[in-house]
Amino acid sequence: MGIDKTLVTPRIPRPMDRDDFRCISKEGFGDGWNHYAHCMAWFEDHLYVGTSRAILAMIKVNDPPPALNHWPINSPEDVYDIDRRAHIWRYNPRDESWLRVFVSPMVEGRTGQIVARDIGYRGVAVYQGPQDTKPCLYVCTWSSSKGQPPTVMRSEDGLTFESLPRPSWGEFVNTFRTLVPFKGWLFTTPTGSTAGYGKAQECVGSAPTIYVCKDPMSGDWHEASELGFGDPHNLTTFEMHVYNGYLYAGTINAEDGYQIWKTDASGDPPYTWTKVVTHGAYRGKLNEIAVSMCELNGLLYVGSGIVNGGYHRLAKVGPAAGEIIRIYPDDSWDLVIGNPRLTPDGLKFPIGHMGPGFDNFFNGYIWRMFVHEGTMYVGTFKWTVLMPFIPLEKWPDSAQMLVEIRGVDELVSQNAGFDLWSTIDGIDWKPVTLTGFENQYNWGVRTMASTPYGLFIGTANPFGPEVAEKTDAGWEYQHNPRGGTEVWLGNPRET
Amino acid sequence: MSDPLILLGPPRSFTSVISAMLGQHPQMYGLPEVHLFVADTVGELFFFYKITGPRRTHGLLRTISEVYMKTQNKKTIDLAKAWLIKNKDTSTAEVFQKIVSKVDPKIVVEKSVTTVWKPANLQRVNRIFPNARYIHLTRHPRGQCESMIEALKTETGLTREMLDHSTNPPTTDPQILWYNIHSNIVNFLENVPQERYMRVKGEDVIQDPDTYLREMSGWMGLRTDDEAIEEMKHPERSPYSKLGPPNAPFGNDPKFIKEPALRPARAKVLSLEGPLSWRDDIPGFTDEVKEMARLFGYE
Repeated sequence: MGIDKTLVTPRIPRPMDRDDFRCISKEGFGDGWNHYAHCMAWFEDHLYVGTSRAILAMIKVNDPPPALNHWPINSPEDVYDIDRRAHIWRYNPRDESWLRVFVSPMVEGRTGQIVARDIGYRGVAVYQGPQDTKPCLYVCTWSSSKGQPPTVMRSEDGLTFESLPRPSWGEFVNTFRTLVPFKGWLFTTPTGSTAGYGKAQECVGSAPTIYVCKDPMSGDWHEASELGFGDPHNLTTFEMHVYNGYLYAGTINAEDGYQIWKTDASGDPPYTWTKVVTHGAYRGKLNEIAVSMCELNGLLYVGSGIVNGGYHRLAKVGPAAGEIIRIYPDDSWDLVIGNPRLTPDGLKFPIGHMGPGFDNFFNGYIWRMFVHEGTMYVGTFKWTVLMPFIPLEKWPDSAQMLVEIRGVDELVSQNAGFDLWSTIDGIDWKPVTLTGFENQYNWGVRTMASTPYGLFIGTANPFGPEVAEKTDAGWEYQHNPRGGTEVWLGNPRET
Repeated sequence: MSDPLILLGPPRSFTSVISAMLGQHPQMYGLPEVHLFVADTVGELFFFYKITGPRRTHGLLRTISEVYMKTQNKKTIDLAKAWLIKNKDTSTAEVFQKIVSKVDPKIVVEKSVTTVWKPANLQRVNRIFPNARYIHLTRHPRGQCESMIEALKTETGLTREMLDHSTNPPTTDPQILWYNIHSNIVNFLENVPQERYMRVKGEDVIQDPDTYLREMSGWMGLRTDDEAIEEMKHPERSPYSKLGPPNAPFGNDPKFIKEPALRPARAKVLSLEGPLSWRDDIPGFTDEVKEMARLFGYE
């Protein structure tokens, strides 16, 4: 099946603005518990979207939970009372139709309880292993605390998915998010762990190791790096990206700030790695995670964040907004968006002329960055929508001052919902939307895919099916028609 | 109607006194800090005032009062404020152009420190006034930074732009502000035709006002006779050089308003080398600061 050229109008690429985007799916594909469109891939002329389920319900039962006055969505005390089976959806842009191609099976978990095997699909890659006759879809699964450790799924046709042997990570690992093909190998790394019900660690894997495999069907995974690159403060390798002939990997480090390492993957694993950036680009632990990476015009951009969306409750890091740096082929770097500072690598001030979070305190992650037709689009995670539920006296002076100036209602109505920015050079930035496409519940841009049919964006929106609304009688849960993940498609309109 | 003359420089770089001196030229009109280049509309400007503090409104209110009502008192300031509120959808470009046309044929001199905060603000000047002229005022980083540290003892709200975030907690270091603002200016002026800008050391103007005021006036194509230069040496005669009415007393650097008269002084000999009086955890100025300072002719 070829590309429908009537739908792919030749045009001069230009950065898109708000009016170039339209919503093609809402309310979690009709199920408000589909909270995140967690991964996307373009495969054999279709868009594939993996969902993650009941995120806010899961956070509610985790320890320590966020200190909220009232829980924002209606969710049961036992998260297992919810249907947590994750979905994979397929979109056909030619007839604009969606098809649910996969639903997680129910399996016997580690406690004997029958549970959803996969509560989310957090990463996906198109890869051809030695036993594959063509490129196939490989999907990262996310399992619940009572489930079995996660594994890799494979599909040849996008309709049937098989489970492959999992990497040799420990039983505490419950999720991974990166699958990066490089030099004929597939790399991954655990990015979440659990020590039992309510004891999951978001983003933090139990073993900070990178795994590599030439043939995922064989399950012959090897360790590609030493634990934490030899630094016990590196809790996890969180994000990876191929750039300039190397595989770059970014860590979570709650003590000193993230590190960026690279390898050319020569020889047999484990490989030799070289440190490129340290101490969170000298911002320290406020740049706790290297969350996102993207190459634009021969430079590697790295977005940062703090675990839990801007405030790492367990490690007490933050709150603070994310930054962006860019790395040059010679491994020097510049600050793009962030706070100025003196560093051993020179005086850095933001060449994009904005402070952390694009000058917005609430942008806790620079979550996703993607290039489409020569323009880089950067989406954030922004937690302003939680402001009505937050006991403000516990927050820093800067946040309290902002609330005093603008008021909670104005903040939410004018500021809630993710930011999406565009740039063609990393210096000049233009906002596409600063309000989650006018949906305060779209608190993040979680995934993007550049395709011949346009730029697809999948949102993180955990505010379905029922959200707390303030009424004269107090908080009441009501159906939320804008809750649940949305998918948007951007195409430059005719001008 | 001539496009204005815009002074560009970091705070504590003699911008207030030199702007007021230029504004006293018989063919020029010096404004206080009106901050019109930080926003596209008056409504957005109000939001900027809300965030950065009400004192930033004073310059524009005093200007409207003085230019339109030929006086500044509590009542005229209230009228100016009411006019702005009523015209919140008006573009800042239109407001500025009204002021320019009102004082025509005099050339407006403007020096709001906020103009150089962000490249977008400088680009806004260029869009509104494509034929504007610019004077880039410099000051030795040691002198400017020590003056900033002194200012911090009495003024609040200045620290954010000069924090070094590599330490925890962040360390106040004005060289960051000095470098950031001069970088913005240098990068902006790279795309401005050379005949429309000049770079002047503030210390030179203070030390030898006759020579440099005459040079700047000549570059502007204005009178350079002794009478004009003598008038320029009295910045205290500007209607904005003293405290304004109680509802808009400032509009300029408080230190300048306190002592607006020109006090010619021999510039201290300062060095780019050696320790910094405001922090001892680094050996001195960064290489970037020293390199840029040398570009401006400092040792």
